[in-house]
Amino acid sequence: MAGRVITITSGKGGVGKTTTTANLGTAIAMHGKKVAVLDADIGLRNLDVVMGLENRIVYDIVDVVEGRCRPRQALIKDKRLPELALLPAAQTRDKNAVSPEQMQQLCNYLKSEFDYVLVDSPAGIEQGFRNAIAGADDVIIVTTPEVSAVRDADRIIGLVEAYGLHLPRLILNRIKPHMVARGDMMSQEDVIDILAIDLLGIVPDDEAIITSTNRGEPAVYDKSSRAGLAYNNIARRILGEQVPLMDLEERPGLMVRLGNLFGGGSSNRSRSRRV
Amino acid sequence: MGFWNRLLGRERPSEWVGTPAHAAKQRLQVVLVQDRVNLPPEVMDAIRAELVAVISKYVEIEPEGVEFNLTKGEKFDKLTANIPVKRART
Repeated sequence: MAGRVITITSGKGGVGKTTTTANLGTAIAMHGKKVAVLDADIGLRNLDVVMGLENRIVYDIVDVVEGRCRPRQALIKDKRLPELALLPAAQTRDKNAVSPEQMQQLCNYLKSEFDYVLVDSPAGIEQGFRNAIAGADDVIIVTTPEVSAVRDADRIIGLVEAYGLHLPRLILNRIKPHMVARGDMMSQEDVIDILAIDLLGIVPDDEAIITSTNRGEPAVYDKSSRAGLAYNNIARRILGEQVPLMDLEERPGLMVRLGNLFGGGSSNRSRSRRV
Repeated sequence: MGFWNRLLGRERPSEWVGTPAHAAKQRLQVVLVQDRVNLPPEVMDAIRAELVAVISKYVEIEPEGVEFNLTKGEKFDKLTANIPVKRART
């Protein structure tokens, strides 16, 4: 099997890399593909809890790299999807426990066994990030529409290019459509304009992410979750389907637009935040 | 064009200017140009000081009002200097 290794990274922490990895891995596996998700955040293991697999860990990535077990023994089968497996990070070691060459070897092995290998990168631009992209065929950047996250994303894009990989694609996470509509938050067009990379998808801010993470069940299982639906759309795009961007349904209605057009915009946009 | 884009909600009304989103985008554009060109602040300061010195030779300027920035242009990034002039030196 000649699978693809896709690294999910961001620069800034807390923008949703792990949630994105868990949801995309699950969604792609739901479409019948063999998927491995790899937690490359050594020392700050989290993908296991987000996926609800924390009680099944026996071996981890450092055990594999140091030869204490075979990759097959460290891979944890998902609870529901037999085609989905997790390779957990080590919790008691640090980022230097694995080298980029070892990571590349590991990714090559996983590619021979799985259709897709999703690598959850740690935040930052140091060794952990370099390990995470060492075996990558594609890179996905996750950002939120905030100045700090977008700035870090720009830096990461530069580093990915310098590494010799082709331009990464972007997932814009935690969009709040009502804030975008009143000019309080940058839109996807604004962020794309700034970063000048292709948009792979947008994910609306959704409380279901918190509840699903609390349960250890990715939001893609929750048919009523907007974020879950968005992740499923992104998974289909990764699989090569043409899926239109999610309609966030928060654009002003036609009457408001007509009002803007003729009345010079006595719209309902809030200005309270501009004080 | 503008009419239809506006009707379809594609074009932003002029009130967008000055919103927090607009501020974020503008600030990011300035910061990222500097991040990408990688001109250290010392170098920017040096260019600014020399520019001011050269212009001061010929005209009297208002040093407090000098603005010197690297911004994003259509094809190339631009160094823009805004130097208020009081009067020519005689």
